Amino acid sequence: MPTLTGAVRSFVETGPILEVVDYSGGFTSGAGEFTPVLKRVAFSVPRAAFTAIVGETGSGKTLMALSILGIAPRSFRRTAGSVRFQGADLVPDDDKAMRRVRGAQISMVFQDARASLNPVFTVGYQISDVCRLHRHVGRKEAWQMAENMLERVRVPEPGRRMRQYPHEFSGGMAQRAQLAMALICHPSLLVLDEPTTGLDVTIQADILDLVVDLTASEGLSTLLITHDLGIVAETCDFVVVMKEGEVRETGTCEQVMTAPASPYTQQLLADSRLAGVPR
Amino acid sequence: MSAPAGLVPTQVEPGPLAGGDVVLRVSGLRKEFRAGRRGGAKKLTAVDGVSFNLHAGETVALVGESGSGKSTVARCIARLIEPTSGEVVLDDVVLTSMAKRDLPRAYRHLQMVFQDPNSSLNPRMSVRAILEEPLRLHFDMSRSERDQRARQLAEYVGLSAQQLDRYPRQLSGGQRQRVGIARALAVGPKVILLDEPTASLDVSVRGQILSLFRRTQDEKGLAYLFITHDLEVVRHFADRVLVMYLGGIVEEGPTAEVFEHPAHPYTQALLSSSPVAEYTRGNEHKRSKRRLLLTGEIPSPIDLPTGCRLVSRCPFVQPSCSSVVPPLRAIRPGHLSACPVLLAATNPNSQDEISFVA
Repeated sequence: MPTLTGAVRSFVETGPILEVVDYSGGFTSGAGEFTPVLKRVAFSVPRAAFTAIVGETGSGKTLMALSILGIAPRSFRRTAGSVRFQGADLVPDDDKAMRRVRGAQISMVFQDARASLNPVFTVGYQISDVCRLHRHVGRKEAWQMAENMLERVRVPEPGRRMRQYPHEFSGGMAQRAQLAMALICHPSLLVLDEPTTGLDVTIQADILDLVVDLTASEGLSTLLITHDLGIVAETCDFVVVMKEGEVRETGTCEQVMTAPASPYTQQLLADSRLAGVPR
Repeated sequence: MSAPAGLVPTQVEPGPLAGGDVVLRVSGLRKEFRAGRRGGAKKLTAVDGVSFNLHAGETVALVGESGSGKSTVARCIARLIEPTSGEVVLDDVVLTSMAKRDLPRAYRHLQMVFQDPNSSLNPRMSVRAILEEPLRLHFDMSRSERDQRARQLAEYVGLSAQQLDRYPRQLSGGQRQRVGIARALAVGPKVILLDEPTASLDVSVRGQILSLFRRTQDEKGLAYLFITHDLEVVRHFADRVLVMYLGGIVEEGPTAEVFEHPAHPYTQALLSSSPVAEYTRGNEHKRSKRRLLLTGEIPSPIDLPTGCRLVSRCPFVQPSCSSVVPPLRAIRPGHLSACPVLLAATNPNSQDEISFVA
């Protein structure tokens, strides 16, 4: 586990792995009316550290994450800004280029794991498919890599599990399978969109511990999208607070949690601690 | 304790309800489902002998993971599903032995607020119609009286008069939950079952809804059975807490006591897993502690083994744990735990078994 100072040091030494620069965009309605949603969003994701985007419903946090991977809804239009990954601009409109990046260098884990796995293929097929695509390895080799990865994300009996279908997995196990799929090509950036929402707290704790461990042991950079400041407090090194499509505050976890500068962050913290609710 | 004038219709006499009296008594509640292929012979025990009391003006939290049976308990109490056995007594009325057709009358004193306001509000009814429906069922009121009541209720839960003519889809999640609360309050209940009422809400809205629950309780002496997995809400909101695991209560006690001195391994694991929005440097400590506490996932409730349900996941397991289901024993007055191993380790003098409907 990189200590905070370690993460800060790596940020200073090598620069961030991902930079979102004044990113703006919105949706065009059927009548041609444009509604801005993201407003000059700017933040960076340091290397080998755990960064969180935290915000409530409608803050634009998920849309921002999807935009990084170039998988925002088709009706979304970027009006300004860019996403820089490892020092170079990502071109979200170039599907061919983005496909090489997605899954190989940047991978994503979605909220509802069972819904994001394909129900008609075995879990093993879906995980090994990723490395056959990006690594150009044979079927057998890919299968073995996938099984090893399932074991690394602490799925018991990985050999048997590989041949099962997503509906035979519990929510927590399916999330591990998704994580295995995301990590099998050793990406440098892992984006997690509410990965534990809807899971029980003990399972949530297991999954987050696993992600924290993997982040540390693989030197992975992680961007976690969440609405839960409790999760932020317990896992993250850096925090980006979003509200209504704008970044309201960025800082280290300690700064944001102990001395929040923006009134919105202060309110969010008070609400999370149920400060306004009479005993 | 009587409700404030104007909120409860005049023809309703609030029952003689001294603060602290038992309003809801649940004893030996059991619910089994048939499970397996083609309605097979396998037995799924969702609730296995749950007993507790709820007092007037009290909030009791029922916590546990999905599959623990906590929602089934609420549904059995409201007889939305029929319990297999056990007794539910609401204010001297035995709900469980009541004929189905008499139940609606009993619901005047027992209401429920559901987790998902999208599916628990009829999308084709306006807010006004939703609020007037229970009034029509339970009271003999004129149209103008109903209309006036609906407006009072809306105002009470923080909805505007204009919103009365809206439909659920035109409201935000928080507003919809307010409609659900207003509907529950419409008939002047004594007990409200809250089934994860804040789970789908943003934290800012969660606080507003909890404040509304609190104000309503203070003003009307309502008793809440609060089903939730949000332990921060429990810590802040509940007077007592019941911890459920695989259909049985494994620990119960006053909230502060249970949070500070959890006496069952499952409660300890639950508490150490629950994220708290406070920055602490020593996260690794908490992580390694909870890794020690619990392994694996909640097992299937089909054909449960004898003995303690936590056996497959518990770090303190002893050979004796698999022989019989350990009963709840008192650690301190009002604080009970079903773990004899931890109990013996912490307090060897307190071995006498007590029945826990005290």
